[in-house]
Order: sequence, then C-alpha cells, then structure tokens
Amino acid sequence: MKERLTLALPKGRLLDGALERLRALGVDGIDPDSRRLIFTVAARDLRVLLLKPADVPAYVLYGAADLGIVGKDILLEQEPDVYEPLDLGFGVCRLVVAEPRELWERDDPSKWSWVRVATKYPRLAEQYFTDRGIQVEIVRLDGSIELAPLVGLAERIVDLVQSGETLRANGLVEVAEIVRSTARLIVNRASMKTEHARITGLIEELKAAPRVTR
Amino acid sequence: MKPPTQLPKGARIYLPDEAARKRHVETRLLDVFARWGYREIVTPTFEYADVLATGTDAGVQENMFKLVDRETGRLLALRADITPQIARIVATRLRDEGKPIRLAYVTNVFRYDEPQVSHYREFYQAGVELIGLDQPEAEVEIIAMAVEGLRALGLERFQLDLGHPDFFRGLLEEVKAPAAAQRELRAALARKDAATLERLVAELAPAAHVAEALRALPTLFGHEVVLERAQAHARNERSARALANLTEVYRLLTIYGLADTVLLDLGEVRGFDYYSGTYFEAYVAGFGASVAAGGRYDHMLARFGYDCPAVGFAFDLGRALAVMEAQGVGVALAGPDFFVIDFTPDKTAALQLARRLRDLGASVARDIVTRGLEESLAYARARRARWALVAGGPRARAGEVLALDLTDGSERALALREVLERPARFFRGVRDA
Repeated sequence: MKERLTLALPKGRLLDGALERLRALGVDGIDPDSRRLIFTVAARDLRVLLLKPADVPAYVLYGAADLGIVGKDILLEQEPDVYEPLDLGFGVCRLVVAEPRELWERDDPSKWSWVRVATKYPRLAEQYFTDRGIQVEIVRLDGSIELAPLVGLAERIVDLVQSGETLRANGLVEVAEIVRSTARLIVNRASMKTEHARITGLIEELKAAPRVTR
Repeated sequence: MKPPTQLPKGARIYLPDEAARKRHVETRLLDVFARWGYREIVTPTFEYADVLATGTDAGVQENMFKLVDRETGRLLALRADITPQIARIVATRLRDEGKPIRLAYVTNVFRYDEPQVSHYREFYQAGVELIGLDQPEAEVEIIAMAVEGLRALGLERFQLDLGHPDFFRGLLEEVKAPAAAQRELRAALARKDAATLERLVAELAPAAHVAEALRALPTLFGHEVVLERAQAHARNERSARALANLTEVYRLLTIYGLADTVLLDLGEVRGFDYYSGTYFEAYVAGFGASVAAGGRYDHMLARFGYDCPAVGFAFDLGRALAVMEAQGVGVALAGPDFFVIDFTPDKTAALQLARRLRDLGASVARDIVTRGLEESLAYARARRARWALVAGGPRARAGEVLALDLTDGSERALALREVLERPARFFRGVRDA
C-alpha cells in the first residue's frame, strides 16, 4: 500500500503564492486562517503541514515531510541535505546589509574592518563579512530586526527585503546585497528515490502550473 | 557539586536495550556476509595519521580525530574510513592470496562531522570488501548482498540508487572549467538544483551538446529508459565507458531479479572521490539519509603499491537502527530463560538448578537480594525472564520447585530431583545434553 505524501508549507509571506500554485494542481481546502496545522487533500492523496518557514527544512530533512516549499534564503542559511529540484519563482526578495541613514551618509563600506550586525541569518551574515576579510560580531535575533539599530543594539542589520518599505519606514538604507531569494521546492532524499514516480510527477505538474505573479 | 557527566558532542551511549538491538543488526548482517563466503577482518582503531590519510578522501581526512604518539611524537589518527585500511592490508599482507578476496567487518569509525540525521562522531559500520575482480558481477554481488541485508533487517520500501561518477567526470573534462566552477556544478547537481545548474551552464558556456547533457543530468534518474536517454549525452569516451559499464551492471541485476530494487541516477554525484565505477546508496522510505553505500574503487590498492580492482559497501548501523524504529520493525529483546529465587538458608537448590540449566545452554539469573516473593517476581518480569523457579519460602515445599511461566502466568509444583534429572521434560526450548 502506498502511503500518503506529506508536503510542508511555510506560513507567512510565501504561503499565498504556494497555495495559489498548488490550487492549479487541485490542492484545495487549505485555510491559512484556521488554527489547524494539518490538512488532508484526499483528491491528491496529500497531507499538508503548515509550519514556521525556518522549520520546513528540518521536517523534510528528517522525512517527516516528503516535500516542502521554502525560501532560498532559509536553504542557504541552514544548508539542509535535501534535493532542491525546482525554483518556483515567486516570493522574490533579497538579503541585504542595511544601516541607519545618518550612518550611511558618512560610512564607507570599503573601510569596514569590524562590524556588529543584528540578524536572523547568522551563518550567511558571517560568511558574507568574513569572505571580505571583515571581522563580524553577530547579534542573533528572531524578529523585528529593523529595531536593533534604532535602539543601539547593533549598528547594522542583515535582513530580508521585498519592497524596501520596512527599511524606509525605519530610516534604514540598503548598503549591500548579499543574495537574492525565491521560493523553492525541496524534496527528502529518500522520498525522491522511494516515491520516485509520484514525486517527479508532482514536480512536472508544478513546473507546468501557471506562474504566480507576486 | 554535581559530578562531571557530560559527553562530548557526537559521542553516543547504547543502553542495554539499544545495545541488544545494535547487536541484533550486527549479527544479522554478519550472517548475510558469512553466507556469501566473506571472512571477518579486524583493523587497528588508531594508526599513524599520514598512513591512514593515504587513500582516504580529502574531505574525510580533514575530519580525522588526531592525537600524538607519546613514544615517537608522530601524529596518530582514529580510523575515519576502514576501506583504505583494508586496501593497504590486502596490498601489503594478503596480496599473494588467491583472488577474489572476500572480507567483512563490523567496526566503529570516527569523524569530526557535524552530528545530523542519526549520525554521530563515533559511528558503526558493517560492510564488506571484494578484492581482485574487475567483472561487473562484482558490483552485482555487493548490490545483491545489500538488498539481502536490508531484508534481513526486516526493512521494506527501500530503493538502491545506482550511479557512475565517471559519467559526470567525463562531462566535466569537456567543460574545462576552473576548479571552483567544477565544485559549484557538483554542489548544484548534488541538490538536483536545476535553477542554479542552468545559471552555471550559461556562465560556463560549454559546447552545446555538453550544456545540454549537464542540464539533463538532474533528470537522468529513473528506470531502464534512463540508460537510453543518457546515450545521447555520452559523447566523450569516459562518459560512454561509464554508461556502458552501468548498462552491463543493470543487465545483470535484471537477471538476478533485482532491477526493481534499483533506480538509476546519473546525476548523483555524491560519494567518495575514490569511487572509480558503479556505486550505490540505499534509501529507505521516510528516512532522509542513506543507510548503506558502496561501489567500485579500482585505483585505491595501487596507492599502496598493488594494482588490483576492488568493490565494497557498508551499512551505517546507527541509521539502520533509526530506520527500523521508524518502520516499526521490532527486535525481540529476550531476558534470561530462567530466574531462580531461593528462600532456603543454604541456597543449594538455586545453585544446583542454575548450574544444571546453564550446562544445557540455558541462561539463568539468580535473585541473591533478600526480599518478598512478589518483589522478586516483579524484578524477574522487568528483566523479561521466561520462567521463574522458586525454592523454599511461602509457596514451595521442601524438595519441590515452583515453576512460574512468566509469559502466560501458569505455575507448576515440580519435584526438584526430577527437574535436575531431566529439565527438558518440563521446559520447552531446553534440551537435554
């Protein structure tokens, strides 16, 4: 007997795009506003989990989910040992270094030798600065990163920006781009082999599904 | 102050029940290896680091645990991969033996890896090396053994991923990319990351047929039809030879009736650099890491001065145990056959019974602690004893033994003399000498 495939979806900014893309495949009835975290889509023989975005790779890595949708930013930060066969193209955003406007006006990034940054992405931030020979002190935060420079917790931040609106609203200016990110489909290594036909079928369908514009 | 009890990262304790499960897995696998005619070999846990490094993959070399030899001041290292050790031992000590040489092992291995998915810095492997054969039947033999091993462990829904590193290496030679770009290509392929692969191919701009082949790699994955599709991309000699070899191995696997258990994957570029031919990884549904892996490494023994082809594979025991748990494969954890409780002052009944039954090969534990019968029986049940034998005390009369069957709760009063004479009459599974 075949077991139902499990798909992990990230709550938050990528969820609408993911659901829209999945609807084209007949995956329906997932209500992000309900408090439920598990949905069964009998028509597609799928079980869908709604998770915090940063938790999606762990579920897929350990096989609690066969597939997942997650931002490239999180994949680069966590480097989970999973397959990443499809760039879904939506959820475009960039990981950037930003600092308050006053600092930016007199700052010269080429002269940096030591920086302190607040971020949710300690690994990527550290890698970016050390690759450039800059010593970095990381203040690891879990949310509202933009606040850190305003209250003197750190001079600079490394954070994800979509439109740049949040940065502007907090008087911050982008100094450098670290990486661009889009939503990716990830697959558990064992599932890719043991459920080869079903999973490659799903990948092909997702590839063919109409592009989400946002 | 609390006494120090911390374990270093990546170290692991197997408590008795876990140790029993681990032993079960080792025994099952060694049985399979023995049935295929493999002899066990034991290698040193530590050796000179430079000696161990020879033949070991660069990535693994960096992660060896190292220590200093007090006598010579030379650097020592803990075994991080047993295959180069065995290759060296064969090249130096067994080279005159008739071929093929079939060797098996169960061993601990030490690597400074980040602990992940049931993987520790000290981990255990059970595997084989088959040395002296360049025929594809050698690969097929170890693949068949891996399948038999998976079945012997009671695992289901597994798939063996079959690839050949030279198919990709041949394409890389055609690309003529700098080393950094080659690493990026390999990393993207390892993730089947089509988007990054596309970008890299566009940047490197190799000949059109090579670009097409590289783009196709993540999809050259599946059953027999993959071999036909790959044919169009194997224009260089190295890739073509790899494909021919893989095709032959697949043909033989079909004859062995094993084609259904393997999946061809020409885009799989993981595995040790020393693999020179067909290699495989075994995956079990619901577990994100391979539980067994192996392949052909024809150039390893030459590094120790003896040019000789070889294949081998190993199970990762920690992962095998984790997968068995995930699939709900039970391992019967047996306690002693008998638990002897003696309330008499001189304990002769207990001593006689224990000796007689042990002589017949049964396992017998004694109570020794003085306590009430119910407490002793509760202890016996917790230890999963099959029968409890009680002498003296509130329940057993002089010259008698009360035999309690702890699995069904029945009890019998037996004459001690008769039990000592013919234990097999009373207890199923116990044989008279």
